[in-house]
Amino acid sequence: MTSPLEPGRTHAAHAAAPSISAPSPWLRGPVFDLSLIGGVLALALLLGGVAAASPALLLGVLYLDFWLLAYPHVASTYTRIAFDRAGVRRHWFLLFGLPPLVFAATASLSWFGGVVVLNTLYFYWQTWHYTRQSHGIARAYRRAALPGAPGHDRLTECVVFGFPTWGLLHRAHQQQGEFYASPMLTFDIPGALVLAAGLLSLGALALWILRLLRPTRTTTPGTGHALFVLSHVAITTLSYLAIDDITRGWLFINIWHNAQYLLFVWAQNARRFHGGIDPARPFLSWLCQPGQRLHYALVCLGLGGAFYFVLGHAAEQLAWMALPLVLICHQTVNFHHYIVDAVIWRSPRPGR
Amino acid sequence: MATPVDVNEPSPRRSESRGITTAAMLLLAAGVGLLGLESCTQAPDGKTKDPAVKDVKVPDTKPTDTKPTDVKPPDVKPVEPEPMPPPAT
Repeated sequence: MTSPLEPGRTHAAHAAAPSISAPSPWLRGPVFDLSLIGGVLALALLLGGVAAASPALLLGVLYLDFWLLAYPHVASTYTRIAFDRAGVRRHWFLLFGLPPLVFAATASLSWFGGVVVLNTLYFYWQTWHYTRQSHGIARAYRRAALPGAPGHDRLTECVVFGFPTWGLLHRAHQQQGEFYASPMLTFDIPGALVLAAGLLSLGALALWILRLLRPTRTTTPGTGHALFVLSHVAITTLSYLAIDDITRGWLFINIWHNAQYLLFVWAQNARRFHGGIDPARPFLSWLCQPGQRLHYALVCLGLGGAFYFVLGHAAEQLAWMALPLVLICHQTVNFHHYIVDAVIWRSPRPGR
Repeated sequence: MATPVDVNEPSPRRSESRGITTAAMLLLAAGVGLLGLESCTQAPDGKTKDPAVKDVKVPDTKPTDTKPTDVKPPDVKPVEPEPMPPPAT
């Protein structure tokens, strides 16, 4: 699978770097970046903590997360591909051809493997999706701070991928047969493997911190990069290792991912149209001006809310079918979003 | 000529204050005694014991062979937890 938000090979990644002549430790500026890193982390800790502390509030936090963050975050993806004619023309297959294919694949999985397979696939794929987003944003920070540096930073990649791997192995070793109130496949992972993954991840983190404490001009991408990677380590550790329950742990990183994606995509859109209104894309370029933040948020909220409202009601009308259609429809949207993200954030955009 | 005064004889005022003090002490002691008595006659659940009933033996009466009436519990349906929405992203 390709990388969402991966800057080394993508248009978005290059857009994330302010300018090759003006290295900066921030993507936009301290206020925005600290909101992206610290604010989003604090929000995830607060809401996830409330849900973890009070089972009665879990459902409320879920609804809050989905309607205010997750659904708008899916909608915000379409500001990249469906808000102007050129985008629709370029991504017509992603918009019209891919959804029925993903639906067919998801329904087939459910038919032959049952909900347990669908649920298991979702858990592992969302982890991969979230981790690739972290990887992409970390590289965006690196490129912003070190414009001439090579694209790969192996030590940071070890940290960014190491902790989720450790977390997934830990979850598999726990043998929790249920995730999100649905059955889930379990895998027999020996404890020694979990321990080894943990030692490797902690070792990589120790080396990474040592490098951070001994900055050089070529190896230290700066404050934003360091804070972002540390926030990724913190939320991953909390979600997959510290919280015993798999669903409550997942909620922390789900909130973190959704809110982060919303802010990051907005920043990319604002940067794309930083020159002002584009006559070829008047609505999109107007919506993405920094002064139109509220309108941008309302459009994402409205589109996401309306889409999921219609989806839920339409699926319920077909509840007589043998398949769990509501779940299949929602997972189709999730899986389609993962694929679209993986494609659009690495697609070259000729003419720019 | 001055009247001779017995210096050992308590003055009327002093003897009056002693009387008042003694009475007050007695009242205080009586109050404390009453409070103690009251607390001794309190049942653990706070109800006052009836000393007259305390030592009365309960007559050995056999319980009547009445079958307990079958009281059906009210038909309260268990509240099902609201299902979680499908996971998003």
